[in-house]
Amino acid sequence: MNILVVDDSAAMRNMIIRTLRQAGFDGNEVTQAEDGAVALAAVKQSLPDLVLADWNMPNMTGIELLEAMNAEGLKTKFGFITTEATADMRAKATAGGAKFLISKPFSVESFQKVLSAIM
Amino acid sequence: MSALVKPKAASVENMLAMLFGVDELDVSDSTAMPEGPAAVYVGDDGQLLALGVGDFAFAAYSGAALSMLPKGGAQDMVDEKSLSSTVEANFYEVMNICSRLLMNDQSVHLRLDRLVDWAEAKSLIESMGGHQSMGFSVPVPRYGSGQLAFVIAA
Repeated sequence: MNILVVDDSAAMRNMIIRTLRQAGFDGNEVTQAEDGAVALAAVKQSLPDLVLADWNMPNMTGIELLEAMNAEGLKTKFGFITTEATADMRAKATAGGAKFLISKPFSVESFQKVLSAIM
Repeated sequence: MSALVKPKAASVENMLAMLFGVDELDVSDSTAMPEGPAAVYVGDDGQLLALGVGDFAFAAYSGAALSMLPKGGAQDMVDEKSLSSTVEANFYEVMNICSRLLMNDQSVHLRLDRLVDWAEAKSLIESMGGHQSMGFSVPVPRYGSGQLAFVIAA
């Protein structure tokens, strides 16, 4: 499985990749992007199986990335890993077609619980 | 929508313990106002709603912890009151995550807008007029203790 991790914090991208490994999802190919615009170009080019994206990022936010992927007919599975954890934001994520929203800070268990269902 | 949530030591403890990857963290209330780098939190209309202020110990230790950087380098930043670009970016992410301490489903929504130095933070606090502050002493595992405070516009 090819996973694209999108977050403007390099440390957070590394924490997500480390947590993926600790949750038992090692062995997947993982690439990174630092904002939604870079991620959109990467999705078009390499068509990953799963995008794990932050919500608030410069240039293009996570929800804008999801909307742009929808507009271009890109069917890659999409989930948020974000501080935006209110019911309102979860509803927006679901309405946009996101499969899940993991709130920061996250645990290995939260990754296992959510990602086992789709990987 | 109601006002922002006022963070308590227990909620700070739970959030930062998970962020730092430890089971327990002994966060306690503190009356000290740290005078270091600060996060500016704004509402959806861009209006200033709150600040999160750390002393250089909390900023350097928490920022270093996110990337598991050497303790000695973090201590140098505390002593010199100057953060490296990596640690500053990591501290930004720590304070971004801390934005959740100020919100729930019933409160107004806010987001981290930027980091500022203490001089600008002090000016912003003064511009708020009425405000409340909540301070905490936070041990950052493997690094040391620092001070963190939130200032919320009344």
